[in-house]
Amino acid sequence: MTAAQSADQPVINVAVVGHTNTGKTSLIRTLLRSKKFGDIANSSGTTRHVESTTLLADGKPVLSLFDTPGLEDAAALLDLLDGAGADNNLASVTQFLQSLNEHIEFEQEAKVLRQGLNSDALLYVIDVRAPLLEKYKNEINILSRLGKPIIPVFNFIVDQEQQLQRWRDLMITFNLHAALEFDTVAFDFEAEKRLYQKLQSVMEARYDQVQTLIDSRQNDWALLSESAVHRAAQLVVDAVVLRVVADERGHEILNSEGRDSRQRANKELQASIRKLESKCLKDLLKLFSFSDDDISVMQLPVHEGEWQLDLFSLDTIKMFGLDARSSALKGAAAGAGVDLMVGGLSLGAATALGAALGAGFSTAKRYGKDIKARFRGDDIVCADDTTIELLYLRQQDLLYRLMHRGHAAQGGVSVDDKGLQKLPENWKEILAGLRRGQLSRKPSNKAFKQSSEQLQLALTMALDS
Amino acid sequence: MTALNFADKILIEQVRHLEEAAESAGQESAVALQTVPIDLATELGGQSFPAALLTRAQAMTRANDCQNDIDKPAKLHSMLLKAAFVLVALLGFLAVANALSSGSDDQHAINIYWLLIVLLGFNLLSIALWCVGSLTKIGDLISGSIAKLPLSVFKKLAIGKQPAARAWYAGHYREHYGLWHISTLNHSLWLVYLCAGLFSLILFLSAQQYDFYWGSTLLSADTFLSLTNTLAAPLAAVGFAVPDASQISMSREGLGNASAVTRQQWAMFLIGALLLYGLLPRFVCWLVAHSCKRRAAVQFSPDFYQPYYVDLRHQATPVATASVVVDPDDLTELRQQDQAVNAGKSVLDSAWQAQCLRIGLELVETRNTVAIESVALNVIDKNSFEKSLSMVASKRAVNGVAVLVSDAQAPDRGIQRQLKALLENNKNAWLILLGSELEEGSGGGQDKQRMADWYKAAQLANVDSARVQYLAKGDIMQLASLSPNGASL
Repeated sequence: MTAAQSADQPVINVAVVGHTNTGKTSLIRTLLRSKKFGDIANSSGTTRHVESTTLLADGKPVLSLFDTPGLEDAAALLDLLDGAGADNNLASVTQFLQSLNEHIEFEQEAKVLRQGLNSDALLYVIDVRAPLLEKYKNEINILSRLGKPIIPVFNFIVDQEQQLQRWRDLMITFNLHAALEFDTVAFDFEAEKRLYQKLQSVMEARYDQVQTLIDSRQNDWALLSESAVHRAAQLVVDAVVLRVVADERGHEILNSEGRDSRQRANKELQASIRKLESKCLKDLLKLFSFSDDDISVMQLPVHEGEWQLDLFSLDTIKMFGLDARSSALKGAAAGAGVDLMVGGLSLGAATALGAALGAGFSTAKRYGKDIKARFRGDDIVCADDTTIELLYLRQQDLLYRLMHRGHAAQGGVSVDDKGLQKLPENWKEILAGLRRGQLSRKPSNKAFKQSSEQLQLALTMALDS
Repeated sequence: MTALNFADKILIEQVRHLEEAAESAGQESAVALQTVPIDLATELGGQSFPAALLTRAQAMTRANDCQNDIDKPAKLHSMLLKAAFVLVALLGFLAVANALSSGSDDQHAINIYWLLIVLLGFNLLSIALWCVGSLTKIGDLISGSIAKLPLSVFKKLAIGKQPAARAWYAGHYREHYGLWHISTLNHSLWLVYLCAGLFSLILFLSAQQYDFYWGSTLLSADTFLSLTNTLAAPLAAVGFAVPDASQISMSREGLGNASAVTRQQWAMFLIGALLLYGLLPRFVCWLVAHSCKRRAAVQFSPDFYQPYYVDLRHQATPVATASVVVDPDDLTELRQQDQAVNAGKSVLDSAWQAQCLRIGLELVETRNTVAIESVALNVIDKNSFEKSLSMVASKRAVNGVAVLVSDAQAPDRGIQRQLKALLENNKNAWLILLGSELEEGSGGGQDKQRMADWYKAAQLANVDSARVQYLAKGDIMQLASLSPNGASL
């Protein structure tokens, strides 16, 4: 079914229900990838109205989500429903809704039931950290009376394996087998897909319609991920090709602060790389619609858009498990390497070839600065391997956090990223290709292009694993 | 749906550069741009994302009055190219003039092959390099050198800090399209040079009488004869009157003046060689480069993985509609009139420990093990709640009732109802909030809003705020020494 065809079908209505403070609003925020929905607070009864938003597939409405107030006193409500003397369970609910004025204290629950009756399915959100109390069984009992498919959604599942199993067992006693684990804080796109697939399984007639939504969300996520990887890889590439000429003629001339030209070039290089990284950070945050507030709870060492842990400090290098000795040996020039060796070898070859083939102008233009530098005995300073490795690892870690962070998260959550502090197996090959491309500085250079693509692939594979 | 042409794609990129430059400059900057939203809808139906980008780019240009910035690089480029064409035409004219004067002596006798080498040598070498570059994909050889000179000038004059100019230059002179664009320009310049040279040659040959000869120190007469015949054969095939074998032999250096017919035929040979071995191959190269350039123009696309485009795509195709309240909270005003109960300063008072009947409300083993063991009953369901009500109504509660709750849970209405039922009729009622027995300082005790909610719940249950106590880990441990009925063990 195409999006156009699905547009002819009525929108699917799904009510998000559950006890108060279980993460109903958070679930919707995470699905929307936006904080601009509802209110979230630690108090019970934060959501007191029914608010809806509709998910679109290629611009066409497919699925409306209804955020409902929390069920707070299911025990008393169940007593009321059972005591009403209705013919059947559904009748007890409709009778209750008709006589709501007599039981205004259950106004919140009434909104939930009313919305449930007007929906095609219910997502029952459960905080698995909570004990398995009778009140939750009462809630399921009440919701079951609506005659709608119920999908239990287990939230806050990190490090809660035993509790999760208890809740699963409880759901089974109510014949609710199509349960879903969906942590609104530690987000996983595959879990989102499974949520829609669960809806497909309980609403067979709307299978194709939900499929258009799945396809659309999949494409959107793929675009987001690819764009992020692309951007992060671009940062690494830009850092590799960055070079600064240290004018050695000034070597013996010290400025008022006592620094020589080589140190100046190093500082300039480091500042440039920091700037590049900062821009990349801003772009990635914008891409994933995260704000500065989200950064602080993501435990990223970032403040006011700038990385707090300096890229060039030995502590940062050690934190990512890299060999700090190579930088230490270069003393204060951590982060910068001298390009003479590599530049010299290819420089000579390229110069000779270029001249022989009559492409002298191009050669002079491309290598002019380098030729001049060689002639004068200047150093050409570039980022050393450790810096590039650190840049890569930091972006890899950042991407992982951004891709696994729900927009509903409010507290600090530690994301296990130890596995991501690992360079790809073909890292040396990638770096060598980029360094070769650095010399020609042309995107059309085959080795350079190949290495850029390998870099993106390596990032993608690391994030998928 | 018409696909975007190259100029449209460049416009989109130029607007992107302008917007990103404005964003980098900050909101206080004078270069802040008025933004135009992106829209996939049109009067005729939906349009694709690239088409919507173009529509937006055009609207942005109008709204911000930056057509001049957008057009400037193209205009400057066109001007520079015209100047370059004029220059190479002049060079072509002068090259022939120079070649004729340097290749001839006082009697206007010209060494034909010297003239051919001067006129065609570099051209043929350049074409050979271009062919090698095209086959082996060496970019520098494909693009050549001549066109890069005016481009350097253009780059210095036009680019600077102008974002629109940078985008225009990047689109026209980078990547695959740029390679073939420069190559086409290179061939165009050569063509102009050769045409001017040909024109100049015809002029000179028309105005002056030249004798043509050939000579060599190393090569024999037969070699020159066969070489000339080989070169002349295609010319003759297309109708040029070229010298025959005897005329060629007679034109060897030192053998005397040639006849007018011989001179004319050598002149036609020269013109024909310039056309067939100079202009024609160069024109074919130009055609090939132009064709590759057109293909590259079709394939060229802005990088839609850039965050800028991803953001616009999300604006054009949002994932969801704006939220709408469908069932409003009618009691909002009444609730807002309720003043929040201030969490009073909790003064630890252990009087309740010795006197009161202790009841737990939904205490959890993982968090409140000690507390669970210290209470007479932990309410977890309807049965236990009814039992607790009986206990509260009995003599066991004559000295007071203390309800222990975990501060990690929020006091929902169900808990409030139960609290009220347990405490409101007892004059010595206490509400005890328990922190975690596992960690000091964790849980709701740190959350002011949560504490305020519990004080509110206490108020609803008729419990004085002074009788709301918070117990941290250390205080909770003391409960282990108490019996559930209030006496010490």
